[in-house]
Amino acid sequence: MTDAPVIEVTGVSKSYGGVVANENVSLTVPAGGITGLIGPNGSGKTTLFNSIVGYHPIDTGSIKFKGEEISTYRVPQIARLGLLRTFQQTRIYSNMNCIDNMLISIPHRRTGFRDMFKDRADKPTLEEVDRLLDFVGLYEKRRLISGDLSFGQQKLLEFAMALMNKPEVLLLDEPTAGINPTLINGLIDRLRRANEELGITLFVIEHNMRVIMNMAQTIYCLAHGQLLAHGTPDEVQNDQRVIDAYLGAH
Amino acid sequence: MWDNIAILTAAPVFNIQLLLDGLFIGATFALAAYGLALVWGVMNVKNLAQGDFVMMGGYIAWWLGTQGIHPLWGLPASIVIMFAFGWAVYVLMIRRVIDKDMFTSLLATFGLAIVLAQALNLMFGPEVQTAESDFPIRSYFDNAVTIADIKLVAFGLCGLLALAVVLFMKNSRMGQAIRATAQDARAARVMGIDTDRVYAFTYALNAAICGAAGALISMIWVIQPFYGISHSIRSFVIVTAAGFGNLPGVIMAGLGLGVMEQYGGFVLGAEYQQATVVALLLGVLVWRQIEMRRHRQVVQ
Repeated sequence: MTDAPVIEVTGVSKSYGGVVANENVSLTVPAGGITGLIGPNGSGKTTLFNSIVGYHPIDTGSIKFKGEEISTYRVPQIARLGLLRTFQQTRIYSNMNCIDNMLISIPHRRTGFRDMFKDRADKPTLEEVDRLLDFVGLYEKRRLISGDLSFGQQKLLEFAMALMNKPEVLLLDEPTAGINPTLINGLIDRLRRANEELGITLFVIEHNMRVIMNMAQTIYCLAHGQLLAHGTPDEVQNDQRVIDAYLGAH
Repeated sequence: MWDNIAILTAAPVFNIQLLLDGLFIGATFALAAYGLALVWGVMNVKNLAQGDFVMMGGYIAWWLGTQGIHPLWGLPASIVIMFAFGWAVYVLMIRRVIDKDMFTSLLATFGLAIVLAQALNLMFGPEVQTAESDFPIRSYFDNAVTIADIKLVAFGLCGLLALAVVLFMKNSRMGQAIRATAQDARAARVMGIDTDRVYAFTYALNAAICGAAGALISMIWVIQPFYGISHSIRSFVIVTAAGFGNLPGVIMAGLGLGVMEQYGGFVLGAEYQQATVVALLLGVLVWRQIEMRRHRQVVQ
C-alpha cells in the first residue's frame, strides 16, 4: 500500500429532491489498500458509491481517479478506466451460465472495431475464466445457469466477474450481506488475496463489523449523509460519535 | 372461395406450388423478422421502418441489375450499404429516442418509414419492379408446378445468412456484448461495455439483414416503394408469434406466414392476400393476450 490516493472525493453533495443523501463528503482511498465505509442504513454510503462510478450526476464537488476528474464521466467510461463496483443485490446475467457471465466481463478498455468480430472464448480467456472461478470456489458449478445459484454463490460469481475485468480499484457494496457465516470467512480470505496478490485496491461498504475491522486499514463512517469520522479501525471503533450514531446500536 | 378450395382438393398438385412458393418467400420474411427481434429485444425499439429497409435493399439489387450488374451482387452490396445506413440512422435519430417512452420511438420510426417510402418513390418511381436474375425455371408435374432456380438460390442464401448471424451472435465479442446488453444494459455498462456502440451495431446489423432480405425479395418476388409497410407488418406478426431470442420460432413463424399468405391469396383472392397478413397479426395478438392471462405474471 502506498499513500498516494487512487480515489479523491472532495466536497461531494448529492440530493434527491429535498432529501440530502450526501453533504460535503470528502475522503481519499489510498492505492493498494483496503478502505472501509460504514454507517447506519440510509446514511448515504451507496449514494456515494453511485456518485463515484457515475450512476448519477453529483450536485457539487469533485471526484478524481488517479488524478483525473471523473465526476462528469459516464458509467462505461469509468469502468474502462479500471474502477469497478459490485452491488448489494447482485447484477449478473441470470439466464446465462457462469462461464458466459465471466466471458462478458473481459476488460473493454481498448476495444476497437475489429475486436467486435474476435472470438469471444479464445484459449487464454477460457483459462483465465477457469482460474478465477476456481479462485472463488465456483469451478464445479461453472456450467450452471447463474440464476440457479444461491445468493451467496451469485455474490462470489459477481466478485469473480469483477476480477475478470482486471480492475485497479474495486468498490464492493456489502459483499457479505446475505452470505452464510462459513462462506463469509472464505470470502474475506479471497478479498484479501485479491488485494495482496492481484494488487487491487478495495473500497468496501460493510455492516459486518468483524469483517471490516479485520480487513480495512482505514475506515470512514458516514451518518445522515455527512462524514462523521475516519481513521484506523481502532480509532473509529472507539470514536464516541461513531458509537452513538452507529456502533452503539449493535 | 369454395371454388378455389375445390380446385385445391381436385388437383392436389397445386398445393405443392403454393407450399413451395410460401416457403421460399417465407424464408425472406423470417430473415427480416429476425432483424426486428434483435432490435426489439436488445434496444426495445419497435422499428416501424423495418419493411422500408427491406425495400431499400431490394432497390439496391434492382438498380444494380439495371446497370448491367447481376442483381445477386446486390446481396453483398445491400448488406454493406444498409449496415452503414443503419448506423447513420442510429446516430442521427434512434440514439435520441431510445431512452424515451415507447410511443416516441414508434413515431420516430414511423416518420422514417414515410420519408424512406417517399424517397424511394421519387428516386425510382411507383412501378412494381423485379430484379431479373435470368436463372432458368424448372417445371414439374406437367407444368403444374414451376420452380425458378433463383428461388432455390435465395432460399439457400437465407439459410446461410441466418446461420452466419447466429454464429456471430454466439461466438463473437460483439455478439456476446449484444446478448449481455439485451439481458441487463445497466450491468453491461458497469462492466465497461459501451452500450451505445452495441445499440448502434445492433441497429446497423438489423438494417443489413433487412437489406439482404430485400435484395433476395427483389429477385424472387416484387418490390415497390410503398410495399414496405406490409413487410413491416409481416415482421411484427412473426416476432409477436415467436417471441425474442427464439430463432427456431422465428423461422417456423416466417415460413408458416409465407405459406398461409399464399393460401390466403389463392383461396380468398389476390386482393385479400394483404388482409390475410393483417388478420394473422390480429389473431396472434388475441392469442397472446389469452396466453398471458392464463399464466401467472411477474408482479411489477
